[in-house]
Amino acid sequence: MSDDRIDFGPLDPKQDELRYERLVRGVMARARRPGLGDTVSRFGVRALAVAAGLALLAWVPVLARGEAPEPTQASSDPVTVLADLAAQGNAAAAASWFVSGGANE
Amino acid sequence: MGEDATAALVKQALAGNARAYEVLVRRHLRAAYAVALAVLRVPAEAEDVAQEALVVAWEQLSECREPAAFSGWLMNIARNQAKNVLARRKVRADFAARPQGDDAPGEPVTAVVDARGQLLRALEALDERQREVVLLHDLEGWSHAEIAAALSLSEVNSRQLLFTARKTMRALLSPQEVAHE
Repeated sequence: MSDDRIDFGPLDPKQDELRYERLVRGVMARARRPGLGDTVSRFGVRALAVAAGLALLAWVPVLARGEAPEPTQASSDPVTVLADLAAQGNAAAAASWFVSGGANE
Repeated sequence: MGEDATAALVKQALAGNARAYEVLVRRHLRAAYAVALAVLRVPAEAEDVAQEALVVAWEQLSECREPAAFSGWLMNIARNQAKNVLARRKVRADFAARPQGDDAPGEPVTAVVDARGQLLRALEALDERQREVVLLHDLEGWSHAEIAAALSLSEVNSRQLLFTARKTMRALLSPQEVAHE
């Protein structure tokens, strides 16, 4: 059967090895690049998880003391600050605030 | 490539191994191109579609229920992508089908007179299934068993399609092409 083969050489992308390599690399470059939606959702979920964890940690001492946060101190209340940062999706600021012990306030 | 080897690579790729997927890309890009070319009959567009199909396949790899049947699954993606391009091309052609001057571009396939153009013109005389079979067999080098599995045909049907396709193309190709073989 192979004797009867039509010679498709002029249409064969593999005839030009460099070109074929570019085609392969083009696919892999696009396959490895996450889409905008993926990036946003991945970062958003991670930021939310970090902020929620930090907020929970900040709550533990308050719950242990059995104290309720005073409404007048809302702006400096760790839970409020972390909740605000979580709502903004600002995990980096939340982490730095927590590490500094709220010293930035 | 055997089904076992393909299945192993698909499983590795599903686990996030991009290297494994690159091997699949290298081994399937030309087959995807062949299927796209069978639909579109324009090599540059077929290359774009083959690339796109492999990107889509990567993104949707978890939906490939039978890793061993990756080739057939990919061919379906390539065919669908090519048909989308063809539909968009027809819309553009309809829009541009207003009266034009003599310098309007004609059919790219018939305008080309070199060996590449002759092959494309001969492919035009086949139906889509015949084109897929002859391109996968004679360009990509797939066996009838592989073609039958990927295109959901019987091997006998694949052989018949190949025979008819070659006969039709031979009648249209000039002696130059025959001598070139």
